[in-house]
Amino acid sequence: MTQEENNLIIAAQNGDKSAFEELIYMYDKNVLGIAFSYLGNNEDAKDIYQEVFLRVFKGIKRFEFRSEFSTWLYRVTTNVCLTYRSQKKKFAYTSLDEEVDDEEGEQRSLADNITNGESSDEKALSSEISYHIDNGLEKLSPQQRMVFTLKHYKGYKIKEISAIMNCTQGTVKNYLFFATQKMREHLKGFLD
Amino acid sequence: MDHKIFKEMIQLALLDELNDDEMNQLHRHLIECSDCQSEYDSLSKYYSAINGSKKEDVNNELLLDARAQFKRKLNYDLSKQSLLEKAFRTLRMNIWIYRRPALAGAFSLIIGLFAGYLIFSPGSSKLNLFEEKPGTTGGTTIANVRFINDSVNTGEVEFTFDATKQVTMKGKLSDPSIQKILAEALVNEKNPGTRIQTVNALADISVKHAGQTYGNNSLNPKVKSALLTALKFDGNPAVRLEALKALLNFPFDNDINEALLYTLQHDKNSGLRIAAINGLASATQNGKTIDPETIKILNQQVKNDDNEYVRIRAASLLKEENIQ
Repeated sequence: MTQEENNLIIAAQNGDKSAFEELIYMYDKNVLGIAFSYLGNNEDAKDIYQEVFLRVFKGIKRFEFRSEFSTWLYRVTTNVCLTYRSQKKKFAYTSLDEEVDDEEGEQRSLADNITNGESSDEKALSSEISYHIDNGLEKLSPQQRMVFTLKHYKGYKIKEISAIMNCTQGTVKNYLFFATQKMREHLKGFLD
Repeated sequence: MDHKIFKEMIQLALLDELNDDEMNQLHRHLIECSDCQSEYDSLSKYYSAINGSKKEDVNNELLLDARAQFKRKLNYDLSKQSLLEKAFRTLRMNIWIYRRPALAGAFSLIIGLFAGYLIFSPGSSKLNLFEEKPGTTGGTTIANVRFINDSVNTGEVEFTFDATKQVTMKGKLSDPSIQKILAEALVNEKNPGTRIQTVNALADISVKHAGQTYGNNSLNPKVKSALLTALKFDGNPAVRLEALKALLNFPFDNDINEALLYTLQHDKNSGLRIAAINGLASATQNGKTIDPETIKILNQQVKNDDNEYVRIRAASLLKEENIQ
């Protein structure tokens, strides 16, 4: 933590609103990024942003410099994400077995289209895989999904994730390994 | 070392979580073990797919939008903290006690005496708990007592409570202290009927202020701030509409412009959106130039607003701007 950051925290703890703003603007893009990667849509990410910083505003007096401010902030962020229930209608995922119209108007399954190489364009396949990865993520527990998001999408180290989520590195590894196993099962057929 | 451990190491290697020694150890094993090599290849494919599905970083527009939304919410929450709440939050009472049961007993006795006092004392009697201000009368009610600390060791107790007191005030609308209380009431009062009465009184103040009926008496800045908050966030459309009308009596400035645009964009009630766009049109007729943000929002409303009048009015405003 830099001296400048320390000074901003102390000023914010003493009720200086502009110091609080300056402080949060150092990290708020990451907060929004975590929320967006975890929830996948702008509106939910903005709701999370608002809730996180309202909690931080109310709770900053209790910050005792025992950890990095950023770690504490991201811990609040992950806690808010984990308990968040989206009010918005989620995109209805299409099942692989669902019949879709192909270019000739004949009905085929999505899986057939992919495995027969009819969606051979790499971009289309990649977007199809992303779609099924998102679908697979929905099936993980909130904690597993959060660990997955922080590791794969935000690039944090296991040690950092354990500090953010306030659990042991072993627990983080377990979540990651379990998520990998589940996701590999889910993506079987696309990656072989 | 068994294969289970190497399989874990493969995952950690691909997650960039192994040190050099561990990586060398793993590579030596992979050369000898075809099972682990094939697991490594399969997992590499999986991780490439995951990396390919990374969501794009948040863009600046979303970030600025989130910041603006948060600032509005924070300002709204802060404005809701009434002066009384602030005063009572700072009121902390410390009394010396020796034992926890004694604390409970003493506290019950105080509450009992106080309740008895409230029930049996004549209404005109004055309470000594708080110093009364001129123009006030009536009793104080204590509720929601919460213990913060009741340590037996130190013999000290700390608690908070809500103290509510009925206050009667009489004064002229031109009095800034009356204006301040009405402004607080507009933001904090739960009863929508009372809020409408309050906003009407504030509207009257704004009209008279504009016409300089109050002479050189300054208008309390909280009045405008409360009207802006009510326009944007009050749950009752009638209160929002009256707040909007009252604001149009003030000299048109950026705050009012921003509030009208907010209403135009976010208010679900088409009557309010119509009043907002009419307010903007009236300001442009009086010489206000349309800034790029307003043009952007008007364009959005032309395309997306559910109400035909708003769409047509927004289009005509843009057209007038082009002519200019």
